[in-house]
Amino acid sequence: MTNYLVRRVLGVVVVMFAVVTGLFLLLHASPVSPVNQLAPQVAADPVARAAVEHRMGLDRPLVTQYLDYVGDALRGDFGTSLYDGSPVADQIGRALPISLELGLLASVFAVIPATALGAWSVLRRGGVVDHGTRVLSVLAMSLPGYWLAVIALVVVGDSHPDLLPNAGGFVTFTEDPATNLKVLVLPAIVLALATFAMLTRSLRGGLADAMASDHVLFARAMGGSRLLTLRRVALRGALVPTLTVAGVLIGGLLSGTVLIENVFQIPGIGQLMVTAFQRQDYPLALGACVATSAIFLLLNLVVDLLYPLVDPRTAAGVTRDKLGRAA
Amino acid sequence: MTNASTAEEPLLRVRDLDVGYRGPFGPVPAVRGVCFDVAPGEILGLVGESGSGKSSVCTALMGLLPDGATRTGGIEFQGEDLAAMRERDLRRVRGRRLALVPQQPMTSLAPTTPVLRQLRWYLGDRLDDVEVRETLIGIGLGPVLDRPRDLPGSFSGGQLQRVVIAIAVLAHEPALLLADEPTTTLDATVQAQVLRLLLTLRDKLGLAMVYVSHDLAVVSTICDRVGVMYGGRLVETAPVRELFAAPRHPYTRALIAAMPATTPADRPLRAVEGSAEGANLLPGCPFAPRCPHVADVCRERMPAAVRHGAADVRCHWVDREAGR
Ligand SMILES: Nc1ncnc2c1ncn2[C@@H]1O[C@H](COP(=O)(O)OP(=O)(O)O)[C@@H](O)[C@H]1O
Ligand code: SF4
Ligand SMILES: [Mg+2]
Repeated sequence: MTNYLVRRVLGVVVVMFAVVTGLFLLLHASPVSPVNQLAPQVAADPVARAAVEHRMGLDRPLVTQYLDYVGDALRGDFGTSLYDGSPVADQIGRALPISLELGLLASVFAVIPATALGAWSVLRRGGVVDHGTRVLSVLAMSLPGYWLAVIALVVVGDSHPDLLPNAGGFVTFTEDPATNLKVLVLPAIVLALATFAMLTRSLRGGLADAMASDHVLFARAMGGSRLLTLRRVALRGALVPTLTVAGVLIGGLLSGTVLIENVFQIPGIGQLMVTAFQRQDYPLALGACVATSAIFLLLNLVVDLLYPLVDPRTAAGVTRDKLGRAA
Repeated sequence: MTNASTAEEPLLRVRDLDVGYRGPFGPVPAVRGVCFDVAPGEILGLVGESGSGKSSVCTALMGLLPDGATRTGGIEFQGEDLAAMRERDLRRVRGRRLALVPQQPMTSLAPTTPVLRQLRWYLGDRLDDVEVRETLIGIGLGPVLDRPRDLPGSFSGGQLQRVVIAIAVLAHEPALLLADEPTTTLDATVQAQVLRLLLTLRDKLGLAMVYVSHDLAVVSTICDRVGVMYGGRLVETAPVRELFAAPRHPYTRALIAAMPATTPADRPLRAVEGSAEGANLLPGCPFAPRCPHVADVCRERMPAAVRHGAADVRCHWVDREAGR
C-alpha cells in the first residue's frame, strides 16, 4: 500500500518535471518571443534589440535559462509578465481559484446525475429511465460545447440576464458568494454536459456488465434485491473503469476551459492562457500551462489514491491493466 | 389415502419448462418442455453435455435468467407457483428455501470484498456461533476464518467452492439446493471433499438437491435419481440403479457406453458420433441426427414421456420396442 502510494507520487513528480521541461523548450523553439513585442524601431535596431535581450537574460545559454526557471518555479516564482510587469504567480493566483470553482461546480453537476442515472438505468434496464438516459447522454455528447454555450448565452441572456457574468463584470466568491454562484451555474452546466454523458455511459456499461456477472447471480440467488446487490457486490468493480475516465474528464474541467471561460467572460486560467498567448507574453503563458498541468496531474494522483479504496485488489499488487482486462 | 398423497407430494414439481434466449435472429430455445419432480431429501442428478440446458434450468427455477430471456411453464415449489410469483415474494424464497450454487466457484464471490466479510453478509452473527464455526472448520474453511482480510483471489478454487456451498446451505438451511456443476473445475481430491460435504449436509439437514453435472461417474456416486438432458430436452429420468442397469434412451445408452468404467478394457472407448450443435432447434427428437435407431417420425415429432419400468423415457424407438 505505502509502496503503491510512493510510486504514484513519484510518478506525478517525474511527469510534472517532464511537462515543465517540454513546455519550456517548446516555447523557446517557437517564434513566440518577447522581443517581438518591442516597438518597431527598437526591434529593427540590432544593438538595441541585443540590449533588451541581455536585460531579459535571453542571451544566456538555454540551459542556464532553464535551470533558472526551474529553480525559481520551485520557490513559487514564475517570473513577471512581459505585458504589465506584474508577477505571473499573482495572476495565476487570481485566475486559478475561479477556474477551480467553475470546474468543481461542473464536476458536481456531472457526477451526481451521472451516478444516479447510471445506477437507476441499470436497476430498471430497458425501462423508461434507461431509454431516457440513453437519449439524454447521446444528445449531451453530440451537441458541440461552443454551440450550447452560445445558445445558452442567447436564450438565457434574453430572459434572465442576471444569470450571466458579463452583465456587470465577474464577481468572485469572496466578494459576493450568491452573485458569484448565480453567474457560474449556467456555464458550469454547459461545461458539465459532455462529462456527465460520458460518465453516465461508462458507469451504466460497467454496472450492466457487473450485474450480469457470476457474483451478482449468486448474491441474487441468496435473496439479495437488485439494489442491495448493486451496492454491495457490483459497484466496486464497476467503479474502477469509470474512475479512470472521471479522473481525466474532471481533470479537464478543473484545469480551466478556454472555450466556456471565453464565451461566458469568466476570468479563469483558460482565459489567462489565451490572453498570454495573444500578447506573446511567454512567462505568463508558460506559468499558466504549468499550473494547468499541475492541477490535472494532482487530480489524477487523487484518483490513483482512490483506486485501492474502491477496489482493494489494486493495493494487493494487481496492476490497473490487469484489472482492466479482467473487467 | 390423504396421508399417502401428502407423503408423496414432491418438494419441487417442474412442468413444461421452456427457456429461450435472445439471439440475433429471434429467440433461441435452450430448454424445451422439461418436466421433473424432486422429492424432499432426494438428490436428482441432471446430466448432459455442455450446452444441453442444465444451467438454464437452474437459473430459470431461481427466476434469475438474464435480461431478454423468456421462460414459460409451471414451477411448483412447496405448494407455491414460483413461475407466477412477484419478484418481491421470490426474494423471500431465494436463498431461504431454495438456494443455488452457481457453476463458477472462482467468480461467484464478490472479488473486491474479503471472503470472511461476505460470509458475514449471509450468515450474520451466526458466524460467531461455536457450532457454525466448527462446521466451517470441519469442511476445511479454517483458513477463511483465520485470514479475515483476504480477498477471494487469495484462496483456492476448492476453498471458494466450499465457501459458496457453506453460504448457500448454512445461511438459511434451504429445503432444496440447486448445485450447478459444483465440482467440475476442481481436481479429483477436492472434488471428493466437496461431494462428501454435500452428502454430509444432506444427511444432517435433510435438504434435497438438484445436482448438475456432465459427468455420469460423479452423478452415479451421489444421486438417487438421474435426468438426462439433450438439446434442451429431458430425454430420460430414472432411479440411478435402473439407469445404469437398464439404460433405455439411445443417448443414455451411448453415454453409459462411453464411460471408462463400463467399457471393457479390450474395447476402445467409444464416444457418440456427431455433435449436439443445433439440436435445440430441431422440431422432432433432438438426438435424431446422431441416433442409430432414428425413424422418420423422430424427425417430425418429439416423443412424449412414457413410463418404462421405473424410468420416464422420451423415445419413439423405446416405445416401439416395448410395444412389441
Ligand atoms: N445468457 C445467455 N444468452 C444466450 N444464450 C445462452 C445464454 N446462456 C446459455 N445460452 C445458450 O443456451 C443453451 C444452454 O446453455 P446452458 O444452460 O448453459 O447449458 P449447460 O449448462 O448444459 O452447459 C446453450 O446453447 C447456450 O449457448
Ligand atoms: S426418438 Fe428417434 S431419434 Fe430420438 S432417440 Fe428415440 S429413436 Fe432416436
Ligand atoms: Mg452449465
